[in-house]
Amino acid sequence: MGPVIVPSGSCAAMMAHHWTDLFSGTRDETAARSVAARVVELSQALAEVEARPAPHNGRAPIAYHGSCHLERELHVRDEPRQLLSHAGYDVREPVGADRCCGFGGTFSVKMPAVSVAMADEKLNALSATGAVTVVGCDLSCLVHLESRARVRSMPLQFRHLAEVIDD
Amino acid sequence: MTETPVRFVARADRALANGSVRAAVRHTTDLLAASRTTALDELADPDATRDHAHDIRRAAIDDLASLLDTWETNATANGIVVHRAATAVDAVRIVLDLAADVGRAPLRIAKGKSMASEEVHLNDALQAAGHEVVETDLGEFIIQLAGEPPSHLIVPAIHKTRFDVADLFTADAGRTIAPEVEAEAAYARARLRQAFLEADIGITGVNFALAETGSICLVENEGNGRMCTSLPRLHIAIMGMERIIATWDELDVMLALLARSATGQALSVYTNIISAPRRVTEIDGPDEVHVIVLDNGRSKIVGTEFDDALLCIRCGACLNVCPVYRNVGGHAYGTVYSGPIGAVLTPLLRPDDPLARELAEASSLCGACTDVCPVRIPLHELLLRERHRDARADASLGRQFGFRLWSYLWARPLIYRASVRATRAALRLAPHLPVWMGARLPGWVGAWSGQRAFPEVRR
Repeated sequence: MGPVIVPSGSCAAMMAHHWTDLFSGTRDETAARSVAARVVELSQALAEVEARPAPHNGRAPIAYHGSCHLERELHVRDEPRQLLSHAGYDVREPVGADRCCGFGGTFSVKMPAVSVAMADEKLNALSATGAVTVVGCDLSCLVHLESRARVRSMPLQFRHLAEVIDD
Repeated sequence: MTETPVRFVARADRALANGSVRAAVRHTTDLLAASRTTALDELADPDATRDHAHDIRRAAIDDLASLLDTWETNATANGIVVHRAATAVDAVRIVLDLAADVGRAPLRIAKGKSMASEEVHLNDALQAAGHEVVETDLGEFIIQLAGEPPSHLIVPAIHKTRFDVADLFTADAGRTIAPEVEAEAAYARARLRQAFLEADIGITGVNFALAETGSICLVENEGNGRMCTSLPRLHIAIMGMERIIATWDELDVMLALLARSATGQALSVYTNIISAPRRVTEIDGPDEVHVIVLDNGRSKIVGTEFDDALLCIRCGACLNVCPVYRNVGGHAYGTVYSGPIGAVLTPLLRPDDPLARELAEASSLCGACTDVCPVRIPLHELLLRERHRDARADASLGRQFGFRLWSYLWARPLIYRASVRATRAALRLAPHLPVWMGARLPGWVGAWSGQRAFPEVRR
């Protein structure tokens, strides 16, 4: 059976690292193990097949948000950055690049004020890079940040890696 | 310091409203975290050293009862009096009895920094008994004057600016102390020196207890710990029962990591090793050394899926990188131990307290804490396990039914796809919902919408 390509770091980490525990002792255990072993995050998959996105000149700089579970649980750090560089982007890192954006699943609604404070610090750092477009590999972080940026009327755009390396 | 029964979210909201605290906490934790990174890189192989430290601490917890017995036998042979305290109340009673045995009252007590003494609320009890207690660690002295509990494991006054400190010192001195670090340090030095010289009892914490020689090790930066352990006639040390290690060789590994992880120092300025009271040939040191070994819920954690929490050496590195802690500070946790380790440990030490259990939710599970822990406690995984346990314990029938229904529906591809289409339709409407209206929606939708507005769904 082939790989299961997952375009989201935290979903991929959940499936690859936590499903085995979660389904342990249930009727779905075998299926969960089988899927977990085959999970590959999108940028990992692209790096594995040595994808070289078409380089374009004169692209606007982008700010990259390396999400927590992508980097800390899947250890995917270089792959997305290299793909973006290959595509001709000037990839900029915000101050506190490895700091959480504040989403954290149910944390965002159980502790909304803290979650928003974390988003604000991340948005300020992203904005300070001078880039207008924020790129990440996790839709959950991107939706969280964009939702907060809208309320603050910040002129930032949010794109998933898959949206920007092939246009 | 008594804790107020207020939920974490309410305290966090209050903390978030205080810009000065947040700025001070962010500034100092950033400095400490950066210093830690530099200092760890000085080690030949930091990751291997951390693995080694993990193994040392793991072996100590696996062998806790027997190591403590060995330590107690050796310490007793050296002339140290060892007391076992099953609960916070027991620990306080032991100290009060020792104070009563002095035969005079009120007594003057000089205290070194000790989180275990905070845990049992020792100062309140000593003061209620009429004794005068002076915290001699500079940060602890500042928060004692402010009447506050510590807000960080190793930087208890991290939330105070030099202007806050000047106000507190001015009130204490009855004259103006300038908001300059030099003037403040000079005042504290003079004030605390007097406390050391007059003290009847010195009370400190313990960083490590060394089984092979029955010694205790106390690290500090200000020399106040050495004053507290050598000037007063009586020294009382309080240690959490998990602070034990087997050998001096192991201490070497732990010391290589402790100060580096805490402040970025290669070694603390003072590393005190105390193995006995003053011997007849020695000119200084206390006549009596008492060590109180505090259980207070710890032994119940041993052997559970959570007992990695007991590996902690209280360096504070996890606080310094925690994005939740940096925004709300330590007081928002409402407990003695704050930050990620506090969120893990407090629900374990106080399993029946719903306010303590709530702390397992005070994390986005980003894993920054786990990344820096010198003894490799899987902090964010322990938080997840605590949530898992609580979810099982608290599952109401309605909740169970809801999740079963969800599981049943999503296991059917047609229904799953239909639900995705329905969600997309809802998300298309969401951006047109005014924020004020979103905030009034019930439950989690309202909690999300209060300060966030869903973006347009792209096709």
